[in-house]
Amino acid sequence: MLRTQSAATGISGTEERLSPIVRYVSLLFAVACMALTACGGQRDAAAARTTSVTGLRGMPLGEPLAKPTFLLTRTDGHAYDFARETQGKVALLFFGYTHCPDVCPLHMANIAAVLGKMPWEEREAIRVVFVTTDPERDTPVRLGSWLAGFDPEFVGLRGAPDTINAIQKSLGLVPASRQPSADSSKEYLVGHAAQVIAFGRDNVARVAYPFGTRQDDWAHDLPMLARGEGDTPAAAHHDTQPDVSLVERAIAPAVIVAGTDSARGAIYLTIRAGPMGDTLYSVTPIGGGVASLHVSTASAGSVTMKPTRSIAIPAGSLLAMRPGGMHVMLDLVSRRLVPGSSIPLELEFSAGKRVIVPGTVVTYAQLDSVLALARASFVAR
Amino acid sequence: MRWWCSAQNTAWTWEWRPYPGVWLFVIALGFAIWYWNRVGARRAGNAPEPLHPLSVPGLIVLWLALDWPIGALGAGYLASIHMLQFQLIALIAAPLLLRGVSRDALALLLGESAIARLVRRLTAPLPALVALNVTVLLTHIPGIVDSLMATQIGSFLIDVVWLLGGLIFWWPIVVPLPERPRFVPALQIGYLVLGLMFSPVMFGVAAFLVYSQHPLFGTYELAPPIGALTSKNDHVIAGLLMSVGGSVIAFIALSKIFFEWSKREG
Repeated sequence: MLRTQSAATGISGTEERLSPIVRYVSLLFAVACMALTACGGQRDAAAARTTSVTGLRGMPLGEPLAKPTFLLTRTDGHAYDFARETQGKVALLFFGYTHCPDVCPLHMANIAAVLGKMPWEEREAIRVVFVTTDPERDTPVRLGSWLAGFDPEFVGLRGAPDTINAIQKSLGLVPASRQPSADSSKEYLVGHAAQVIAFGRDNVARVAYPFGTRQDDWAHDLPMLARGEGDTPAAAHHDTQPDVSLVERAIAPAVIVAGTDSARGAIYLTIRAGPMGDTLYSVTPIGGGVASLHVSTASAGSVTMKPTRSIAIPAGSLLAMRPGGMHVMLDLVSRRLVPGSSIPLELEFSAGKRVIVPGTVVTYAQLDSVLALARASFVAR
Repeated sequence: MRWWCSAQNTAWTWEWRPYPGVWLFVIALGFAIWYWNRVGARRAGNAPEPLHPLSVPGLIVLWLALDWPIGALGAGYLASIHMLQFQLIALIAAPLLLRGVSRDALALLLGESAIARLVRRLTAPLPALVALNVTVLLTHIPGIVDSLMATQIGSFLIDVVWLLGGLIFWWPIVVPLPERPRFVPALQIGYLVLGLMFSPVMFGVAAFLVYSQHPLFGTYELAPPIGALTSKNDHVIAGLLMSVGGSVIAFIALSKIFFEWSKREG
């Protein structure tokens, strides 16, 4: 009866004839279900990137990077000491620009999306610092509102292009460069490094996150970094451990005043040493030129200026250079000191620690008030 | 010049771009339907029927889904538009195109040739229902989507698979084959409800898109952003389109079947 009915209806008969096909399709179906449940190959691909040492999915750096010390300006106009402000936190440092069509907004959006889902305790341990490589167009207002669109907690920093590039170089990143748009009618693009460098709570970066890092990867790594799981024991990396004095050192932007021939001038630094004390060994103008440390001594009613190899700063004390006292002589050789312009300087401290600070050229008339302002900022701290 | 839309790493612009492969594909498909009808009419000894008025809109919908801007946006920028493409190709263009196949042309498939037997087997209700759902599942597995959408060939393959899946699924409903007298309107309605309106596969994929913690498809998560739409929200819209869009189309189709059935039954 059943057999007769099958032959007559066609449908059941078709099912019988197609049973191998149906079985094959069912197999495909089951495999596909499993693949979808596992969210496909992306997670597997990310897992394959897991480093054996840290367990993080970020791209391991060949050599761990010590957290750099630099001073830049926040979008609210206040100075931002990167090392000091991010001390003991995970710092995600990225160099980009707000007109970027792809990499920058994607990194920021993906990090913000993941941070938004993390518990407060972990999230609070993470700082996202975005340094613009296009300060010309990234005004404080634009940079601030652009970052706030992702997360109001993100920190936007601005500085002179030479300073930014010097910081990037110190981190082994390719400095940013302006590139014409493919369409000449459009605004220019800025080529820049595409990776986010993640400094752990121990102030050392062991991984970076290139373009292509997905939310899934961030969600895997950020809690680990926040818990300090990416950090390695101090003994294993004694050469990359941060210098305590470096970490707690604070430096105001340098003040530069031009001499009579405009190529030479004097640099005045205001530095507070950390609890271990500090020694300044050299100042180098980035972009060319020479600078030398000088001390002035008074004897028999006259002031004598002489070069010195170093300037020691006792623990916790303030070194406030001023005319007639300690200062740095500057000779740009082929460049001119133009009031209002910016010259980044690289300062070398104890243990070869180098710090890049911005220097602003002022006139003699402005000098006293600007230096007083720098000193006052330390008193306020 | 690119011949087919695929994912690119360049920022989206509203500047028109030509995709000649899409034009050739749509023209070739239209020609194939016309030629098939013509051969069918010649074999049957009849005069060729004029193209069904719904087949031209079918070709237009297909062209719109594949060409700039929908094709380009769906291939590499927005998962929601990718889902819209699926709806347009598999659920709207496919049944309209099938309406363009004449009875004489269909008669060619009643023979015992291998192609005719294969088509009859594939387009039986159960395999057809499974075919669409397997198509949906396979073409929405993140690894497959991310791999295929990166190349023009891969993107073309997905579009063709969607069209084939749609043609197979709609065949039992749209194409009146005399050897399937048991597939009555009530069964057709059940077929649409199970295969499209409340398809567990479609709802499953939609649920993954909507409720997954992070975006499923790397292609769209890492695409240059368009406006303020986040990739997660884009995925949520895609999931809603998948579930709601399929249900709406199924509802329209089964309503048509129901009212025609009621009219016939008096």
